[in-house]
Amino acid sequence: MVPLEHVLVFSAILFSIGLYGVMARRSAVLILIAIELMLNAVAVNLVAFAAYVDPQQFSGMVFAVFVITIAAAELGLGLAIVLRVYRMRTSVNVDDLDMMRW
Amino acid sequence: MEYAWLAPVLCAGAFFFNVIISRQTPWKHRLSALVSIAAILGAFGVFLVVFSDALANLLGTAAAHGAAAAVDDRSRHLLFDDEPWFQVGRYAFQATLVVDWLSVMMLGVVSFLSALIQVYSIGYMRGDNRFWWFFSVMSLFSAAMLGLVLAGNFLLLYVFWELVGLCSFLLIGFWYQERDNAEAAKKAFVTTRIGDVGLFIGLALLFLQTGTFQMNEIFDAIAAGRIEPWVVTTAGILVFLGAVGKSGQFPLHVWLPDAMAGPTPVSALIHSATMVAAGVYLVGRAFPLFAASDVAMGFIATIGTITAIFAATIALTQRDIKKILAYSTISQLGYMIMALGVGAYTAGLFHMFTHAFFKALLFLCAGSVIHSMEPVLHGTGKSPNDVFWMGGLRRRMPVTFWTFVIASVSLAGIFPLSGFWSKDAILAGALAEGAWVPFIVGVVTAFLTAFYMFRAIYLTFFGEERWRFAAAVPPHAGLLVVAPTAASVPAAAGAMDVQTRRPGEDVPAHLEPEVRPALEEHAVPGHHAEPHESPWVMALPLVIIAIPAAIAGWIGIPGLFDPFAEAIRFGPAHEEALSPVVASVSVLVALAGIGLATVMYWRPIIRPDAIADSVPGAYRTLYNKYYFDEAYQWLINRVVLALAALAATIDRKVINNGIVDTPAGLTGAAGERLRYLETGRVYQYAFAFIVGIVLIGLIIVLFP
Repeated sequence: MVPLEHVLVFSAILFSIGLYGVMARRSAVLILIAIELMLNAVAVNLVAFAAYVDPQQFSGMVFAVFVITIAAAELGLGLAIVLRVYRMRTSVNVDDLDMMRW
Repeated sequence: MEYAWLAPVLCAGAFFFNVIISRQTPWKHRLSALVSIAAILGAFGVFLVVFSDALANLLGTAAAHGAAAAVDDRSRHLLFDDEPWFQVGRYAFQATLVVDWLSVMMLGVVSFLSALIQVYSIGYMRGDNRFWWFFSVMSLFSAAMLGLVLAGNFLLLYVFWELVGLCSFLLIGFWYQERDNAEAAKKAFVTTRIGDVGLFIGLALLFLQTGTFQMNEIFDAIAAGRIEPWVVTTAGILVFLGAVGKSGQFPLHVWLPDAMAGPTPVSALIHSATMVAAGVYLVGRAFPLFAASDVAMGFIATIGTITAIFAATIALTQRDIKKILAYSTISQLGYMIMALGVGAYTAGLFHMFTHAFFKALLFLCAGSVIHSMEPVLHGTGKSPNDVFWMGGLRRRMPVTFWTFVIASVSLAGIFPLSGFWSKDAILAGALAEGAWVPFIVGVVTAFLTAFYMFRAIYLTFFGEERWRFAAAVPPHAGLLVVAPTAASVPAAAGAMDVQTRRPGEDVPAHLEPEVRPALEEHAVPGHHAEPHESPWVMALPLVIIAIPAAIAGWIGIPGLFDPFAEAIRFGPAHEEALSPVVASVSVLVALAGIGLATVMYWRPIIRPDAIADSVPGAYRTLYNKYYFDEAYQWLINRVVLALAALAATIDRKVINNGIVDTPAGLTGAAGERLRYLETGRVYQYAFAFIVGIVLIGLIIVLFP
């Protein structure tokens, strides 16, 4: 069986890639994808802990299923908003979306 | 006995029925009067049942244990004393009702008088466009007053105490369209509130010491010495302040005469017989509290003594018949308070009992007189309450006249009417306690009482029919009528041919013979309205109340038939025979007062205006009620308003500008600077967010 540490390191790497994506990208679509990566890193973590710490219970797995569900919903909403923004401003660059400051 | 709670509940039900249902119907006036009177008659029925229960109980125990043991514990019943009313934290409050002889007596007095006065009101208030509201509030008042006398818990008592105050306010200001009436209502409310604050603090003090508002528990704690003496004294004086406000005692008496602005049935019920007696009742009910402190008792006796003589002297010179009676009420309430203060517990409450009947009757008679004077003086600018414009009503209103005389003689304390027995009990009690000053003041007050009551009788019912000439004297000119001046005889048409007395000066009931022609000439022709007896719906209650007004005192004849002293007493019963000296002194001074009134106001032997002119300063002081209203007005203008202005300045400058506006300005300025930190770049926010999380994580790891 793969040791727990490996899974955790994998998940940390995945999370960091997602974090980098959120901060470095300018396109709203790519930021959403990066957020998805971070969520999946968390889900992997949950599944790993569920399998290692308490194999009899499924709570971690169930949680992971929830995370996937929520992620899908969130992405649907997020993309819809991005679509609306694109229709109105013909751009999805987040640097352009600064009308709300001050 | 268990059904005593029905009495207030019936009346409260009538109130709610009237304001919710009756007012929606097309016959709201008739329906609300009907419902209110039915409810109060029901309450009187409840009293009869409770009374017969109590009597049977008393006789039963007396047979078993001998008369002396009969009344102590067995006659006191507490209802609802272990069911919680509501609970706050660890304190439970009970809506206890106490049924003992004191509350049974009050139950009877209140329901009996309230029922008859409501019947009387049908005639007096006829045609008023808020007739239904009058009866509704009368029902609410009856409910509150019945609840007040039954309350066995100070908190419950306080609730009803304020409720009767509210009803008083509503009824004094019943004709609020006239500004004076609204002002009087406000004055009554605010002045009694000053006393009520004292009552509230006193009750809170007792609650802090004992953790309960239950009267019997508090009294037990006092009897057992579990409360510090200074607390008992302070609480006693504070609680008594409530009685000072409610019972119009010096120096908070100023509202009661003004309260006469209300309809006369209200004056009869609330401002003479019941609500203002609630202060006396409170002193009687909480007597164990006061009796435990000599200082508090001395304070009570002093206030009562001052009030008794002080108000009686003012009553000597008043012109408004209701104000004469109002000052008489204040004086008599002072009498009762004085009796309680010197320790004559039974006598004080006995006087409250007898006084309720004859004073209510006097007010109803005054109402009857005013009712018939109103059309006569209509359009002349003269007040129908002014005794100087009455006169000669004896033959025109025989029922009113005779009942008024019965009540006055009773109030004056003439043997064998009821006022004699209670007044005599007070004087004998004061003497027995060695209280010389209250005794002497009591005797002098008895003299003054007899004098001013008969002054009112002579001016109202005897002598010249002065109302005939009301139209001949211009409004606000004060009064007729001494002698025609030489200059005025050939005066121009329309000029005043009779010399008028300045406002506030006294007249004899009979006119000077030489004035008559001048007056007759100027009595406006065509002014034909004449006073007449009131309708039977007003006259009948007068006759019915006249019976207890005359004989209610016969249940307190010392040494002969004295169930009152047996039933309502504090401590062991002591048999006291009638003291012939005290009795003859009190009757003699009363007769002297009547005699003086007779020679001044009926037989023109001593001229009252001559007396008034010989001591103008004293007369004016009395007529202006010792300038108390002016003094209070000055106090309010100079002190209260100055303090209020100071508080307003502090509020505006310090609280508003300093404490509220300064932080607000600082926050605004800081926001003005900090808003440029917001860039609108999402990744910068995310970066700050991550840096923050990392920092928090580091802190948690490094400083566990």
